[in-house]
Amino acid sequence: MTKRLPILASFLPLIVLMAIAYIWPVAAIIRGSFSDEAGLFAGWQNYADVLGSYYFRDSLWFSLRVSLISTFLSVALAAVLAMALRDTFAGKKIALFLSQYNLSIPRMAAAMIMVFLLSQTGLASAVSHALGFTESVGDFPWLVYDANGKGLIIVFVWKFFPYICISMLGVLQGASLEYEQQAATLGIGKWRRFFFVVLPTAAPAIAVSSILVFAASFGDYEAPAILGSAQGRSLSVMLYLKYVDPDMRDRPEAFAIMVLMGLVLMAAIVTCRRLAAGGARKRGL
Amino acid sequence: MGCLELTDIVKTYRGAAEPALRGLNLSVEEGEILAILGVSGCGKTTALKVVSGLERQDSGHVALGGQEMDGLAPEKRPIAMVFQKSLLFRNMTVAENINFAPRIGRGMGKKLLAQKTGEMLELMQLGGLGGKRATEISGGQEQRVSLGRALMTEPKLLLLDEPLSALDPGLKLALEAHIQEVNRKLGTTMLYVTHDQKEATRIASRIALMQNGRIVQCAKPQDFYAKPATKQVAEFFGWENFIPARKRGALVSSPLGEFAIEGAAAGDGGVLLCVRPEAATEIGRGRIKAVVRSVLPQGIETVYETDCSGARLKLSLNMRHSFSAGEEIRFDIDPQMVWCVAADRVVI
Repeated sequence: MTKRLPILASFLPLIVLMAIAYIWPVAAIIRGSFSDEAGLFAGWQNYADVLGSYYFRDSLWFSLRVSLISTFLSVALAAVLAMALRDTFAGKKIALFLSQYNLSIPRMAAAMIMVFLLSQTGLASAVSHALGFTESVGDFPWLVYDANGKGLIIVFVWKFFPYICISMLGVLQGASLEYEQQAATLGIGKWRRFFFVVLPTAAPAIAVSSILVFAASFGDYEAPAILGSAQGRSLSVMLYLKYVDPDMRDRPEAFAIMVLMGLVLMAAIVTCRRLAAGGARKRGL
Repeated sequence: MGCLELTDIVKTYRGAAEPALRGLNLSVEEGEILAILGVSGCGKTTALKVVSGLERQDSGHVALGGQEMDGLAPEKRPIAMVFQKSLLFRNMTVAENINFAPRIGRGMGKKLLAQKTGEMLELMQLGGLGGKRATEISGGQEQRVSLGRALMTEPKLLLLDEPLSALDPGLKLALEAHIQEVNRKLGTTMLYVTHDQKEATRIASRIALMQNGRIVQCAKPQDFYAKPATKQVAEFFGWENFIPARKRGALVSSPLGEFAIEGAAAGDGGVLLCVRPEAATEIGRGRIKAVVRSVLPQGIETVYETDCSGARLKLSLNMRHSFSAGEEIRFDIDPQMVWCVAADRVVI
């Protein structure tokens, strides 16, 4: 007991900093979500208004769908690449660079690049028209500004798969390789090895990076603001618009949306970790 | 023809300056335990990886039971491997680890699987531990599980890559005996890699000594102590005295006298007379004289560095004899503990 006090005391500046930088703002948001525009306690009214709104439910579904698809595609692409990149081969350094160079590109720049590349007035459309695949640039499919968020998904996958790929590579080149070799010498074929040995070993790394990708794409503002079909489709854009609306009556709803987004992310974290742990247990690693 | 035939295997890892295997030739007989012995980095593990298919050789051939294995994936070869680490699947039980291969790889029926798992648990002396988690057993038990898991595939050849090197000496001896017993019972051919000369001598019916990526001698364990093929082999097996001598037929003349040595591969002319440090007999009465230069007590024995007619000779004597530096020793040499090797044979 006598030793604990000095240790706690040494952590005090950090605790105070965390309280100021994190706990206080979160508490303020939660408080704001239960208040009206005058700051008076409003009970669950803001949540009832938000959850009862068609626009909120539509935006939530849109953001969830785009984030989940982006996460799934990022994991799949990263898994394929990590499996290919873990072996030694000529040109591996170049392949590694190509798979990771986009980490340094800001998300807003990535969104702009997609506009230049994939919009109907972009490079792909012009090339398609020049090669005679489309009669006019207007025939080129809507890949950005579309209602299904295809452009967003492309940006998120392109931007986020390297994170998963790096963490998977670390696992695949380490302990997983030894177990995989052991399984191979026990007569277990390539695909079974992947599902019963490689995937369970990499599951914690995949889970953690998937959560990061999901959280980053679910809460991202820049890309949806640039590539979204209509302002307000993505939850983060809707939240921003409500927060900066001159009509202060919308601000408590913005706080309620923030809390709901936080709850979605917490649920995603818990689900992902449980799935990873369960999968690993089931497959025996 | 042996069970396993390795012919002129060459393997160089990408980016490595030197080949790991430089024309490896080896023949393993059906049902035997053959130990590949060598220092770290000599290519032992690479040899096992090439045999198992985990590494592909640059040239040369691997044949098992007369069938070419070249180009076959590891899972397609009737070969199992036990690694230095037990590599047990940590969240499985002992029984689930044991039956991993037939359960996951072959989809064996539950009844047959349970029967075979039970039999293997008994053979591995793990009866009663089947339900325990892999994390709840000792290091020795882990290696038994690993061995049992490999044997469940009913391999034609079992590769063991220093499986006992992490165990303490007592446990090591027990497991060596167990591996020999399994070999006798199942008749499984085993290729056992170790850097430990004594371990190889105890466990194997033949030893292949590996140096710099090739086999320099393959023989029965006792032959390495009695008839080493080269100076390097002799040094590895504890021969410490190499005295320049001349050989004519079976007769070798040296400063220590003349010795009749039958069967040595060295040709006539200049050779090295190899003398084991334990070779001195008739201490105090023999015909050979030497002057003690230094005394190195080593527990129950003492090593004397002596000068014998211009030749340096190390003698290991038990504690009944005691000499000081400068003193003269008289002794004879046990003719069973001398051998000769070519003076100019250097393996690179």
